[in-house]
Amino acid sequence: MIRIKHWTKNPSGQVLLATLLFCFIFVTLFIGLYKSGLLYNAKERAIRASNLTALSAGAVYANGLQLVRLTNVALLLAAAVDILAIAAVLEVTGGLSLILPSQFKDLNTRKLVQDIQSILFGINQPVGIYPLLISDETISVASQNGLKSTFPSFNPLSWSLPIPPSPIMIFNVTTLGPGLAQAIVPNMALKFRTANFFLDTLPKPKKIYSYKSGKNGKIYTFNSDQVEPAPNSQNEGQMRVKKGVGLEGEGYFVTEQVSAGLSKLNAVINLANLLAGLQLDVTDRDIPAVHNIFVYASYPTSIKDTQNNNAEIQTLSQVNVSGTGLAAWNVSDPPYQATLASTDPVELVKQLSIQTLLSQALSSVKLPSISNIFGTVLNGP
Amino acid sequence: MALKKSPKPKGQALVEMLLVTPLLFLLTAGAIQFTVLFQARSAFDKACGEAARQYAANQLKDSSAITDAVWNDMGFYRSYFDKQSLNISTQTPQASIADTFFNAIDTLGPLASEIKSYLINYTGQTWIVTICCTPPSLVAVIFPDGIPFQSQLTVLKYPN
Repeated sequence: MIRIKHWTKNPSGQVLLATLLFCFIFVTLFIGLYKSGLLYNAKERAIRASNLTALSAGAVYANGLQLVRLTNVALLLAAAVDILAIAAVLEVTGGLSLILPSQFKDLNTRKLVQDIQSILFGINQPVGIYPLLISDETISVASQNGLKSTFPSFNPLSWSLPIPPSPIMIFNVTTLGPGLAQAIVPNMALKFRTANFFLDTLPKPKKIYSYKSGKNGKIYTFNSDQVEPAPNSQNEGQMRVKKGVGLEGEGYFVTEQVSAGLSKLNAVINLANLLAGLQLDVTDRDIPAVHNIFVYASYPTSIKDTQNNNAEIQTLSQVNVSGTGLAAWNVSDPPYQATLASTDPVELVKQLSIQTLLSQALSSVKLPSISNIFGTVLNGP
Repeated sequence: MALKKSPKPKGQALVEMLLVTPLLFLLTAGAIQFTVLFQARSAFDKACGEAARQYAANQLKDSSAITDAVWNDMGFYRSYFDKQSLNISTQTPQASIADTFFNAIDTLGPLASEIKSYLINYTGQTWIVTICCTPPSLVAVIFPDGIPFQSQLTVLKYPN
């Protein structure tokens, strides 16, 4: 202390101390600059790695959708074979009767193709082979792009879910309802088209409402344009005759009547149920078709954080896969294309409650909060 | 007897200022140049990523097109790099489990291999991109031979 006092009173000492202070400030400045520069570069590399990994996932996904088209062509050929077989039998019987001979058996080669499609693409199955391939390739590319990869392998004999898993792929989540846990399971948002889709274009019967007059016992009927909702504690679906449009008995409560065409409707419903059981080709699960993958990953850096751990940058990238359709007649169309999409993570989290999804899936693991994660990197193409 | 006034410290502040100003200027310029260096590094990484995206979109057909794309995507920061030193070595990505399976198909014969190449129509590349950065003047004193930058990335594209 005495020595410092001595130096502060001495002009040359003052200069020396000022110089030391000056150097300290600049060294601190330079270290800060250096660290922030490293972090900035790491952030850019993390975004790049995440985007390229998502694009790669999209490429494999797009190839899968082309495979769906090809298998639909195979299905069409199988159906043709079955029809030819039936035609051959009809030829034998002279085509006089639609009742097939008892010895005839439907070849049903369609079923074989549909079973293959089901296993390959995971339709009506917990998981398919091709969606697993997408995951495998994505994890491999993520690892090679420097993203944290905690999946050792997909060896089915020794496979166990690493905790916490990274990267996490979220499949077609934007069109999935509130039960989001299944979005983590690899899927391609596909389903079998059923024959009842032909009925979708049929006009729907109009509802008819009526009330019986207490004065003359006459029944007045109204269509849905002439009534309005009048909910009450007893009946939330209560309707009444519209007021102020000059209708007879305006404001009176009405009840919904059975339409005259209900018997026809029942027939249509029965037919629809029948056709619903008849599987056709593979098509998109959603209308309009949506195929996308989110890749949520961590990029480890050599920069130490406040707890002296190596800092990790969290990234989120979205890739959309789009094309003209999956039907057999689309097979010669341009191939599906994967494109990066702008991701607004905060909005996405609000909409889909990924935090809830993750906490459900990984209840035993403490992850950084999503708001912190997305505060780190707002990723975009 | 009148007290004799002590002489004013004429010029002392000026001398101190003259001594400190170059140092201050040097450090400030150094800080700015370091920032530029980091931005050049970042621009290089970004350019590699942009070129990889163009490759994934089938816009780049050969290695010279890839090299040109990386160079052009660096924009303003090209002045800090030597184009002659830009080198891109491409490799096949490390084998995934799927690759192991697909390679096994190849052993079944040329027909199986042909069918596989028709069905599995995506491919990928790993790039190791190296370039020599010519740093700004002050940083060049520390690194007279330039600073080698390297960037590695992997991307798959479809269709092949």
